[in-house]
Amino acid sequence: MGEALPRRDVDAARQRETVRALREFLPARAVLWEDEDTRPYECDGLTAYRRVPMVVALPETEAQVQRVLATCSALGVPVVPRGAGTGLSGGALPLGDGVLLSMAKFMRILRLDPLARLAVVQPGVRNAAISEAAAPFGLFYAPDPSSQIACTIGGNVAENSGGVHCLKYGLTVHNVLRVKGYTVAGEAVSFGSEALDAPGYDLLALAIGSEGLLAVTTEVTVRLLPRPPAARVVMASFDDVQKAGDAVAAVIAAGIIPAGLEMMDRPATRATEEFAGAGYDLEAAVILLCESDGAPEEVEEEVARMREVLARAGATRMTESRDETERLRFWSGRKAAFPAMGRISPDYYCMDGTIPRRRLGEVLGFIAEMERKYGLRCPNVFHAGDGNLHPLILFDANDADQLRRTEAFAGEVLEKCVAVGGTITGEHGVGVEKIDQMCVQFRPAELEVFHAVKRAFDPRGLLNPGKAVPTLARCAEFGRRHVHAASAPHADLPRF
Amino acid sequence: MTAAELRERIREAAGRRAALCLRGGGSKDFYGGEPRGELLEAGGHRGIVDYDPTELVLTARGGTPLAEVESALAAQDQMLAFEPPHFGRGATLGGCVAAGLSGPRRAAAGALRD
Repeated sequence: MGEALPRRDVDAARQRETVRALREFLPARAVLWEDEDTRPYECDGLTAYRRVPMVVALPETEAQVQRVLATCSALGVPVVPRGAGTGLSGGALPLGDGVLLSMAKFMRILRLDPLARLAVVQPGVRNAAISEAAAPFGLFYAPDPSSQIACTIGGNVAENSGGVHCLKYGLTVHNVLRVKGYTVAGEAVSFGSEALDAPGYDLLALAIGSEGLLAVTTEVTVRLLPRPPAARVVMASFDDVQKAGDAVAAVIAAGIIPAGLEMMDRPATRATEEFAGAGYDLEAAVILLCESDGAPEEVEEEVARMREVLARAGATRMTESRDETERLRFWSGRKAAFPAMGRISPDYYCMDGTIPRRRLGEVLGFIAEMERKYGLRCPNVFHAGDGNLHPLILFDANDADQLRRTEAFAGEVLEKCVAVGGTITGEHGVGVEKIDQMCVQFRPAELEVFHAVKRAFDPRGLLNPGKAVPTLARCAEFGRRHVHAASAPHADLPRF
Repeated sequence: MTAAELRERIREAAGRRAALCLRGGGSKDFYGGEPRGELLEAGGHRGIVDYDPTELVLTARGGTPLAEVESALAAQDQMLAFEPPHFGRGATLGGCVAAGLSGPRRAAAGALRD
């Protein structure tokens, strides 16, 4: 993060050659190369990294996508695919000598089958637009990233995106039936089927979360679920972070899988309250938002059990949403947490790591320690139910030293996640942001397997190169800089 | 049987280029093609390695009987949501994963891979 990327050194001849080749089948409006046209694509949601692409291609048909890829392959020009550019790990960071392939024009819902409970959509369809189209049939698409009004399903597939409701309904990988696309050579590929099962290896799971390294998605078949008729959220206050962490584990241990179970600490509730007016308890050290959904009777019973468990775990105050308006108001603060940080800090850096639930208190204590060590504030807003942390480090990007400290802070927190048996990403992907921490998470032999998978789809390394999986040389260099990048403990256990 | 013993057996067979027929409890021998190759009994590599009910995650060795996994879960009011069929008393977790079979709840709760 915060790498000072040089102003691009465009190889003018290379650029002319690429533009000419693409213009043979793309209209003028679909090939951008002048600085004022390509500059808007210089970064995605991870704005600390910027690089202006050599050329931007905006194909409108699948045949054009196929030809863009085949053409770039023939010229040996690398390609970076991009959806809405809302990703937080820099997965769509362009290459100064590459083509940025925007899938933004693919905005059609091709088919919605309420009986089969599925929708076939183009990759540029927004996440929320699927649920909007399914609403008249009483259905919805479950994964709900915070950016769901803007982010696209193609990007969700690339990052295996999650959201508040993933605790109960699963991540993108659990809600997609089929992905179609093209390899960088322009070869058509299809993973999965409309049925619940498909013969052969589970390549669908491989494609989802592959961060645009294996294929460019051109069509996605998603699973739709019946919208629960009722939902209610309990807001519980705690005077101690450790107690709240234990409460989260207690809810799960009691056999309750809440539709959402979120935690916000006091710095986070105070920052968002001014902005969203959600009615949070600002005296509490932390609050939990615990949601139940289903049939009205089911919700009634589950909420009563949740309250019982939370009270036993030491909740100092509990408020229950009385109606839908209030429920949405309770969530409004949580959903607006990131923009609210913009009011109290020039910049913020949203991290993403996952830990076993039982280590929540310990890791939050560690983060507080890092706040003191680096002299930076770090409110916490996260998916407590599945142990997915989102510490928000507040800094000023105009101060190079703050940027450097933010980077070091984030690195230490991610490595702590690995040390307690967790992972360096819960739902944002690795991209360029966490590529060094991949060296902490995996051993060289494991990384080599990832590279072998990449080569099977893209032997020349032309599709989104330099993202997600570090080279062994990079890890060796990282290891030299970082003494504690030893092999992870509990190597025999799965990473959650 | 330890993981090291299992690995040694596989290495040894690979060295001779001998095909292996992996077998847990043998409860699904009837399913799929005719079993071929030298029998590699993996049922001895068993036991639950880690289970914390608050994490909703259980780690067990491949040869662990499915019944053992299910009763450990049931003791904590938890279950395998995909309802794997056993097809006999010896069914193991490894065989369950290899066969990829799920029960009627699959439509709602997801399959084994989910």
